[in-house]
Formats: sequence, C-alpha cells, structure tokens
Amino acid sequence: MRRILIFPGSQRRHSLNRLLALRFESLLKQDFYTEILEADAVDLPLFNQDMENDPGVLDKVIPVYERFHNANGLIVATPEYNGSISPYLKTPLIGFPDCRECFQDKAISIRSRTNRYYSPVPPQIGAAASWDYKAHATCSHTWVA
Amino acid sequence: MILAEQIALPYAAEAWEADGSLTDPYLNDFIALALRRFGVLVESIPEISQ
Repeated sequence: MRRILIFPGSQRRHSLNRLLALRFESLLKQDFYTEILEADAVDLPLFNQDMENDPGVLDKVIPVYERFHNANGLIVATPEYNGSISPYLKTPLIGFPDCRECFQDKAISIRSRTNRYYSPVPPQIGAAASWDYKAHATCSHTWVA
Repeated sequence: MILAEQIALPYAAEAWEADGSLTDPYLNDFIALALRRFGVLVESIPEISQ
C-alpha cells in the first residue's frame, strides 16, 4: 500500500489547517497508508549552516527526512503567516541537511485554509516552486481561501 | 509538473465541523474529488520499499 505523509504547516494546537489535515487523513486512509507528521515529532532548529554536521541536530533531522523519503505522496496543509511561509514549513523546504532525494519523485499537494484577506497564493506558490526545484516532483495545489 | 486548482472555502469557524469537514456538502465533495485526483497521482508512482 502506498504511503501518504500529511504535514500540517502550523504548530498551533488548534490550527485550522491541522483540522484540514485530519480531514484529509480520514478521506485517504481507506486507500493509502497515511500518517500525520505531528509538530512534536519535528523539533527542528532554525536552519544554520554551522549546525549542518552537528550530531545532535542530525539525530533530530534524519528521522524526519526518513519519513518524507518513505512516502509516495506528501500533502501539506499550511497557513500563510503575514503573506509568507510559516517557519515550521520553511525548515524542511530549506533542507537540513540538504535533502533533495527526500522529495524526489513524490506527488506533492499543497493545500491551505486561510483568511482571504491575506492571499495564500504567493507564499504557497513559493513553497511549490521550491519543492519543484528540489525534487522535480509532481505538485498539485488547492488554495483554500 | 504543477497542477493548480483553486477554490474559496469559508474561513468562519461555524462553517467547519470538528472533524475538519464542512457544513456545505458541495465543498466537502470538492475536497474529496481533489483528494481522489491526488490519489491517482500517488498510485502512478512506484511503491517505495521501506
């Protein structure tokens, strides 16, 4: 059975996008092995090249990237923060360490439930473009505004 | 390849159920349809050995 990893782009406990992620999981779990990457499993520090080879950091980073690597599909349900990408979402985008293979040949779907006042399109397009660059991945987007 | 689709879903908390579904059945159908399209995409990718 193919695996889909669902990544809520917000760490907020009562995040609306996390709720959307739970809905996605309930709809997909009949046909796929699905899992949600919970915030407490992604305790990654802000990207800093000085830490790229720090064993303590790698101990946290590698298990997260393995979960990306082991998935056929990735769904990101993310808010925008004042017109930009959430820091929580940005860390795996940057690559810590640079982990292009983790996103290679994946189907990636970016979905967002956010306030129409702050257009979700620019930041999420930025995220998609970054993944497209990293992985030559197949992306589909649903903007939920 | 980037497939783009856009829909406006309500931001108001009253429009959403606790399980993440919407009170509007049309919008629920849209989400389900979009996920089915994504599922087809995932099925087209060879399974990864763990």
